[in-house]
Amino acid sequence: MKKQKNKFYPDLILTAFLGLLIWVFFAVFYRHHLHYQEQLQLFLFTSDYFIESIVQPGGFAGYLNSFVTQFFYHSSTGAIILAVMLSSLHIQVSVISSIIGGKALYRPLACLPSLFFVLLLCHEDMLLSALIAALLVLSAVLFYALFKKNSLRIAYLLIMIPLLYWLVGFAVFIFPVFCLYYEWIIAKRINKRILAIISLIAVGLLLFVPLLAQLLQPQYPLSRFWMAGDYYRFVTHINPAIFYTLLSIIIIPVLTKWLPDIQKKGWRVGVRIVQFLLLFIVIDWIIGFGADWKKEELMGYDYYVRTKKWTNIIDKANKLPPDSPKTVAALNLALSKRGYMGDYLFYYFQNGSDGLIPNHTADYILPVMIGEIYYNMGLINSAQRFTFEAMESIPDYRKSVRCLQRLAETNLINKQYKVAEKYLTILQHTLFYKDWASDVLSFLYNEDRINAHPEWGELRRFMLKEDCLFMNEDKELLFTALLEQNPHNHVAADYLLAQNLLDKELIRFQDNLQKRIDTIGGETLPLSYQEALLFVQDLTGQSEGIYAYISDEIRQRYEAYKQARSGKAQPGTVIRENFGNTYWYYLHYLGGQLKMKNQVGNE
Amino acid sequence: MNKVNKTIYIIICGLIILIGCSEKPKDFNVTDELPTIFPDYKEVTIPAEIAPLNFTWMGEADRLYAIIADESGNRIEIGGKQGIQFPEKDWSKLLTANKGKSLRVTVSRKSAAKWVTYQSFSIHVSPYPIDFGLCYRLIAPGYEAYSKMGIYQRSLSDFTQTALIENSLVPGSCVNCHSFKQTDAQYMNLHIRGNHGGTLLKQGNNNELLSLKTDELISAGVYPYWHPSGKFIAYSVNRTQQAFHTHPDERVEVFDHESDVIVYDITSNRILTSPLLSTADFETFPAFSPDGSSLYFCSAQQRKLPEECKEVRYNLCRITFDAETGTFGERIDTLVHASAVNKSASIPRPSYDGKYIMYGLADYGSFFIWHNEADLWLLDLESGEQRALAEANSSYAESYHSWSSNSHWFVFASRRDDGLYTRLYLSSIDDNGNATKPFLLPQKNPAVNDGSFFSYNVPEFISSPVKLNIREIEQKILSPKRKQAVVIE
Repeated sequence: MKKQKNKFYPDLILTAFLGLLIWVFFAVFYRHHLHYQEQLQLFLFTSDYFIESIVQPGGFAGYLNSFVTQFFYHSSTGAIILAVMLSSLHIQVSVISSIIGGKALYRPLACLPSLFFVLLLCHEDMLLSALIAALLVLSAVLFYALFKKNSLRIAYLLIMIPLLYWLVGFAVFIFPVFCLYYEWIIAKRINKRILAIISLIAVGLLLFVPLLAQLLQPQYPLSRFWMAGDYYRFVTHINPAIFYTLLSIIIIPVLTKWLPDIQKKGWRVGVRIVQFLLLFIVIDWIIGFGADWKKEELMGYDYYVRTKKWTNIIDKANKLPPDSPKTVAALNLALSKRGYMGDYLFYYFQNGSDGLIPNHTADYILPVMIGEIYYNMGLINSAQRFTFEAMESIPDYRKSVRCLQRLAETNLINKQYKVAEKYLTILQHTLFYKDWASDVLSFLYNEDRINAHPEWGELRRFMLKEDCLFMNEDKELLFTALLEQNPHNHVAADYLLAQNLLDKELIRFQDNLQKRIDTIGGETLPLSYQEALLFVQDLTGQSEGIYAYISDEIRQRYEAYKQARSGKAQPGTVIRENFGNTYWYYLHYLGGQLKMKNQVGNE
Repeated sequence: MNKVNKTIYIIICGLIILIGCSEKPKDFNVTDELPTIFPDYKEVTIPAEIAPLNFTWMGEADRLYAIIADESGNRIEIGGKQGIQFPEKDWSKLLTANKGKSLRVTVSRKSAAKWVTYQSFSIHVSPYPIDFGLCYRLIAPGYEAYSKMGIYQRSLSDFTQTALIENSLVPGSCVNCHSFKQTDAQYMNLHIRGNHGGTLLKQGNNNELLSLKTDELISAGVYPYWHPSGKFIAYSVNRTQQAFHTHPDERVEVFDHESDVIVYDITSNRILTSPLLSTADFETFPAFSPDGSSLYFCSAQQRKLPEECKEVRYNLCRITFDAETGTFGERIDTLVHASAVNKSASIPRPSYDGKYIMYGLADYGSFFIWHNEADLWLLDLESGEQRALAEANSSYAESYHSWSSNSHWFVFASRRDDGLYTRLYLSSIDDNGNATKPFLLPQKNPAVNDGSFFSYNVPEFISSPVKLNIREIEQKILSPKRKQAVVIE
């Protein structure tokens, strides 16, 4: 009975609790990381895609990575899958600990590899391939122990090393370590000399297989074969965290065997408490340091932009104002799409016109956001270009389902139907986008249907008919061209005027507003426009025309603002509290120098 | 299920599959219409060495059946569900036996349980042989960023494609501008861009990494062309930029702020220049005449860019070159005065028999892959006559082109399939300069390009396979050592 009690069987309650914890973490708190991962895959249910994947060492794990990642389309489903995978890892580690004689006292430690994997997966460029590889390798280890005959076990060991290497990549090293540990320490059924030779052959195979792989795939450097598996999106970089996490899968079971057995009940309780404390510290570490909450926030904004949930973006900003160029850009797009930009632009943090359309950098994230903004204002070629650039910049050479969807749309709007058809036909081989693709395919070549479409039809009306060639994004020139083409392009109008305001180009702002007052102005003008106009009026003394739109309420508030500024109150306190949401505050305290100083004299 | 039953079951299944594969049309209707197959191989002229012209149906088809037969009654009959894939050995035998003759192809389609047999068409087997294969670059038709890309060789007699060099070999690199001495795979040039940049020069088994950038030059060598002696390579040197269109029919504009033409003397490691090739105007796309005595290039008047981008128009010019002394002539001849008719000529490629120069003609500029209006033109060097190669052109961009070693075939990059993804087409030219309807480079799976994100560009014929020791090349690229070329004024 005592023996049975001490046996290291999986603690299924702990497994269930671990799974639940992981599900809550990914489904509730870290779900946008799953959305982010999902958009950067293009899993196709085609034989070509399968073959293309598995011709690389570690390619099968990569194939399964894409297969699983596609389910992150629904973050709660994705979180379930992750919870199941990581719980399975816990069970596998527990069973292996049991096989190699781990002590039941140390069962909580078997959670550690799963938690380390959670830590690893908190990084947005860490792929699931490493976890999949670990699960497959441990399955192979468990299978090894089932062979009763020595010869069969050894044959299996030597065959599986190259096979597993090709299927899952460098995580294969776990396999011979466990197998040989089992033979040397646990089973002890094979003559030591023979076992030494077998061990040498196994190590030799581990070292030789990457060299052989390079002969078959010569267009890669050798380092790529040592680290085969593409567990990290930057496939040419070596991330040691992956190695340490995989190593923990070996260390923990071995530790459970070699740590001392304790018989005294009090001490046993103490040891358990210490282990749970350790788990708690690791979990706390994951939440406090491992998880990148700033990025989760950014990915949330990005997800809502992608899904056109503009109100969600504004709600999100109301809870915690965005402060990075990317999140501010997402918020500003949402404000414009909802028709709030002129009124509420300065209710949120602004720091120059980079927050409207961020400056392009050669990566695979920012261009997607830039492309979204251009798309929504009808600059379809620019949207197409940035989306294409983003897709081509994905470091592991994969394609993006999100980018492909957008490229299909831009080509459809541009009447490049054959190219759109190509992308849509590819998307028809996906699980979550095939219906969408089939629906869009039915629009091709049907001008009336496309023109009547609420989004594509409107964007076609916004598009520039005259060709314009540009190199550096002269954004004001583009916004102006769009408005000349279609004065009702309210996104372009918002962005033009917002750019003038954010750049503190007030004379240009006034000119641009004057030119478009018929389409922009109703009975009143948006708040920030009135505030800017009042500021100009205060400097120039003009009172005719456009200034009639300034309401008495704004005028009174401006007087109060001027008084506050002339008083002794510090800008950081009273003025910010009372006037932080006005254009005047931005003008004086944020976003660089006022550019109209030289034009209309000093304040 | 016992063992015997299982075996019988497997045999029956196998028979059903076999019968299914060879299902012949029965109770079929005949139509006068020609079959709508992809690629369009109807009435094309092909070399006897070419790989099977496999095709698929454009639209709905439950099954296809094709018969290809010669005048003597030799035939191949084949069915398929996704498309028609001819057996390679039978195909090769049939073509070899019919050089200079025509084959008739009859296609039947099964749809909604009914077979329809379409009007048959001819495929003409040319008497002119073609080279071993092609070398081309596969890259996404993008803007500035690029994902996986590389330079590949493809055997024309089968479907084997092998990578010569991919950018995965040295992360962060780009490979481009491969060039051969008159299709001779022993002499190859290609550029590697990026942190480990350089120009790879292959002469037989000797591989060298060059640095062609010097203080005197605008850039390192860009567009290359080998001298027939193998002792020189002409390059353009360019300061290039991209600009972007807003019109839905156009995407990218590539233009040079500055460009000159130089000649690299391989033996002495010297760069030869001429004031006539280094003017303030734009000189680019050099090409030696097959006897090596002339250097063709394109030249345009300098313009303010990008404002006057659409006014940059290149003429096709010539300067003499003395390979003995490494000196240039003192006069520039204009062979094609394209700017006079508000057109621009680019990528001159002389046929190796000395009869023609094939070049591209578009409304402006020199980077024609982004110009839908770009077409191929042929200049008859004997008569001076120029004509559009209407037989080969389409309403989309026709761009880079090159000649086979016997000058009876040319391959060119065209965007005719979908307007964006460049594919390779081959066409034949007879002794009178008449070209034939071009055919798409055949693929084992004719629909393979539908799911491909790559464009084929810079197609060059090669007479034999290129042999590269990729490990040696990798080491040389990663090594900081470069053979630095020197400019001689």
